[in-house]
Amino acid sequence: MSTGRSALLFLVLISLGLWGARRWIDVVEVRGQSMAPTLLPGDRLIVVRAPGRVADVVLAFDPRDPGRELIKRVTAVDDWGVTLRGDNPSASTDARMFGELPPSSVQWRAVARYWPPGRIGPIEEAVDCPR
Amino acid sequence: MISFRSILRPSRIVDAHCDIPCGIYDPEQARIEAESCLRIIEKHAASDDEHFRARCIGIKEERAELVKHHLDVLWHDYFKPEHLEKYPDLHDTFWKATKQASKVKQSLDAGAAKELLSMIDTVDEMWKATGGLEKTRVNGRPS
Repeated sequence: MSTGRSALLFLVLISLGLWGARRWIDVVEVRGQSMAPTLLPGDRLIVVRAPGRVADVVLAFDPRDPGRELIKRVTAVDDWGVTLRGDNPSASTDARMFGELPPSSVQWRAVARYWPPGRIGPIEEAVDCPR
Repeated sequence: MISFRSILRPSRIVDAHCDIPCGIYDPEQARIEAESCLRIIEKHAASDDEHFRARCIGIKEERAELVKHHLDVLWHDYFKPEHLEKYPDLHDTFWKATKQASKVKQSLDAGAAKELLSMIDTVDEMWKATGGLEKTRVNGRPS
């Protein structure tokens, strides 16, 4: 096999790998204030495909507007569903208004922030996690 | 090909969402109430019916109070610190305009009501210049 062809094959494999990995790991940008001060508008996060556990920051589709994906913190999990709250309760529309969501609606968990550079790191636990 | 940059580019926006405040603001709301004040002052002056004149005064005071309310909402909810950088006289403009609304509430001077309208127009200019028309009305303000 020529060097050119193996380089091309290598690139194709890398691309396919990254494409496949996107099903399990992805990056998203935060909009809105409801997770302040943990997450601020413009923060970019690494999310992984995983169910939400209590205290995790997770993504879930808005039950009232499925076109919108919410980011909130899990404050309770039981047989019936997952309870999501914003860390900034006075500026958050969450389980207090829309109730529990089915566990299947939570598929992604936020694990770390990679942007802005000054705030790189794991997602902090809520200072005062509302229960 | 997938570049490093494209890996770091977010695939989507996720909402740390809050339904309220509604995010709809428009100085027109204050202006309509201020126009009511002006028109009522004119009607008051043109009438010699004592009861009608008394009602005019009551309604004008109510409308002037609404002007103050709508200006206050714009002041503390719509305008942000970055707008203050662009308009250092923002606080002064609102302070004077709300004071002028008090003056209209207290008096039957059409000139004071006209002055209030021009002050609201100044607020309107700041609102438009900061993108209010595009950002805080649904599909822009109907013209």
